[in-house]
Amino acid sequence: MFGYMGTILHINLKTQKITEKQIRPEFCKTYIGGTGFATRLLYEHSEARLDPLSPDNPLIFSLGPFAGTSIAVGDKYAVAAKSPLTGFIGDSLGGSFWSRELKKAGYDALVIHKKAKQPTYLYIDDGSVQLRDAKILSGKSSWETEEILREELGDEQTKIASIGIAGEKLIPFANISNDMRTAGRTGMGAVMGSKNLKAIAIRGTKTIEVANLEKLLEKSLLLYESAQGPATEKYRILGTTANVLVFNAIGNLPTKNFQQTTFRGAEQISAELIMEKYVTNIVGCSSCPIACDHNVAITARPYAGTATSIDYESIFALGSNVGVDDAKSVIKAIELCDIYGLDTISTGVVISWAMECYERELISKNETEGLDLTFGNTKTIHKLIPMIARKEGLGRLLSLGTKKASEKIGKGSDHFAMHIKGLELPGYDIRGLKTAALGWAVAARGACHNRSGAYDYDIGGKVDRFKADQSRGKLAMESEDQEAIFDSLIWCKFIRRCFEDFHREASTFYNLVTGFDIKPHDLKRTGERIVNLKKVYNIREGWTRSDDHLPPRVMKDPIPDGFGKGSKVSSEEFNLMLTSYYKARGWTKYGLPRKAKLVELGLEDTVKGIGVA
Amino acid sequence: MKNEYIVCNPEKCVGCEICEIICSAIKENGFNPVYSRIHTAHIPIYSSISSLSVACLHCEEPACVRVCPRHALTKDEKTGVVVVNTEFEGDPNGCNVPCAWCVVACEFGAILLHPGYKKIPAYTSTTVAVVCDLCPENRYDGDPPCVKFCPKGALSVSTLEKEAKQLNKMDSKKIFAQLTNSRKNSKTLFERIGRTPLSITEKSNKALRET
Repeated sequence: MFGYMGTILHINLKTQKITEKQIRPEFCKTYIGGTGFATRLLYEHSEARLDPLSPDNPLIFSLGPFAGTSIAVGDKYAVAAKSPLTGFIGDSLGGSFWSRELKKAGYDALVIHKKAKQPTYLYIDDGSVQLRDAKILSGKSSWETEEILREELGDEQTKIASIGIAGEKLIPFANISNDMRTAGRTGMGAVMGSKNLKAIAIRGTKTIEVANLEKLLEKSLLLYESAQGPATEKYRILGTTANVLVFNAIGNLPTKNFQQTTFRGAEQISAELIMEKYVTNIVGCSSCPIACDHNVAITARPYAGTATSIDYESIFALGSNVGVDDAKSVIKAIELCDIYGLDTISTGVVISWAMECYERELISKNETEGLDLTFGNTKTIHKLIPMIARKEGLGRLLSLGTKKASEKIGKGSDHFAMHIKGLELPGYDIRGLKTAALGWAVAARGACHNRSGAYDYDIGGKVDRFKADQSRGKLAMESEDQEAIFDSLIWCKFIRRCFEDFHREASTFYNLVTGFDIKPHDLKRTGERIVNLKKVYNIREGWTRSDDHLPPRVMKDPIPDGFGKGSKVSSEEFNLMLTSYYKARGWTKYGLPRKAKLVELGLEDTVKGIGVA
Repeated sequence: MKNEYIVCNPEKCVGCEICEIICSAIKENGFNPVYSRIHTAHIPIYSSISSLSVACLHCEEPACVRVCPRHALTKDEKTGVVVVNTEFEGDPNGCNVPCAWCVVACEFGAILLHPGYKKIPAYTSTTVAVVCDLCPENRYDGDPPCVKFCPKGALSVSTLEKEAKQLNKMDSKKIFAQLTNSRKNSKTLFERIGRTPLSITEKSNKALRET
């Protein structure tokens, strides 16, 4: 089989049994790879309604057919498990060398079952798979872990994905980090930690073969050239952080726990300023012609020696969202999240929620143990991040995530708990992006700008972003299906503007790699299939229509400032859009897939598990 | 003799390793950076990781050519390219044992041993040394594939004379300011994300200094 290595590796950490299973071409055609594979494997290998942190929750890493080939931005992996943050499907993507190395080692996916008795790390060296003692790695950050393991294994080229302290302490928004990139969202690091698995080190030397090499190289070259054009200019020059000033201007920069949409100190945390003062160099993931990753370093006191890499979501979450207008301390906070292994978005939003509680006197000074949680207090933020990772003091409460913390505090604090399904909102104010509001409310993993790109319609001006109508259901669906294909092939979404007709071009690349004959509409169907399967999984885990919700603030508090002043998503508007979405999907008005739909998509075997009509 | 070689501009290189992927595709008919003739080193320089791709420099007096006990490596008098003679049968000057003297001798880690490059029935080992040959047969608009495919334009085919001219043009004051500015925090970063250059380079460096 071309493009795939044809093998899935199953590792049982309890019995230390290691089995290889071959995959059939039909399976590849049906689920493509990446998120598609991961969702299917998760559905098959887990029982309903598990505790996400129990040993029975399998952790799945999977690759797409593009990983390791010459196709631009194809080197990514998907990781999936039941999320400890949301209780629904948790899936996240990570970039760069690790994914290519896993493929070269000869595997398309890793399925990790059960729990190891003591801290363990996994070492895959081509066909040889070993479980090794990881006691010395306890309490080490991902960066340290990579360094120690490279030394221990004696191979500079070993690629390592690992968890930090947060993952070991089972913080539900802990990340998995590799090559200075992270698979951040939905707490996959905590699932890895719950298995006592500290790291996965891989070295592979196998060759990845494709069906039509000559043609593929020709097409790849065109894509490289296209990726140097205006379609990716934002990412290449200022990086995603360019959004800060743009969003501030259009009233879309969440500020002070999503209260406002413009930030007075936006210029102080803008890409322009950071670029001039702190960026040391720009690097790319493997096989990436865009290179968006801006490495930063600080040489002046008090943060001298701080070095990390930045992007818009981190800058918003630990900057404007918590009222910090000092780029230095934002960078420091991002570095702390990276060291402790926390998702920056969730960490930033849970801190901003606590700050608003403090402002409204829902949390007293007694409960904070003397910490001053005023918006913009950088010292507190720098103290809180390690406290969250170690579950100390106030960190114990915040480490539950925004949803559970607000349930615990009560007193109406859920009104401004900015999460959907438990996953904290990324840096867009959806009160003024109504298509995005719908897209995020229905996304299987919760509030996410990567599983639904519906904000492109709003910000791109294709629709009136302050209005809600029935057409939005179809737009949200199309966007979600397309993102599912991106996540399965796996293609980084930053390349999306390089395509004119995505499905046609994607199927061309896919066919060149695999030698299959997949038509554009087949691919579209596959996207729909994957989204439906995620939905089926969620229903099995107890999803109801009330889980497709928006945070109360989005529905009740109109935007107080900026371009979108006065806008909110009223419950009538939301219900209108939600119904239109379910209708476009061919689901019932309660949001359940019909049997006929699932059969049509080739998901007959899932019908029984959820009991739909 | 032209003495051309592939040179990488570290200011443009982003470390994506696309050159490795392309090289292996052209030379091995599959994607496998392990067998690429060009390698990307990720080197911590002061406050950040800099990346730089290195292929055979086709030195004027190549150490690899000198040390080869079988005289399998030669420097082509016309093109200036270092050539590994893999034709063994009937020819005593063939590379067919993994002695790796050339690998040790090369200061730049530009030579690699390729298992199974060419099957020679009479010998148990099929390992041979391979070096960048500037792809005379696989040119894209006159450029070697890695140069053509490099998305950032960091690679080019150049000669020592051309490079010397380029270096003279660089603003030394600016470079000095950059270096001194970032040197202050170099140590912590070195410790944290410090990756040494390709280990093979280190080893060969050491070996050469001792001899």
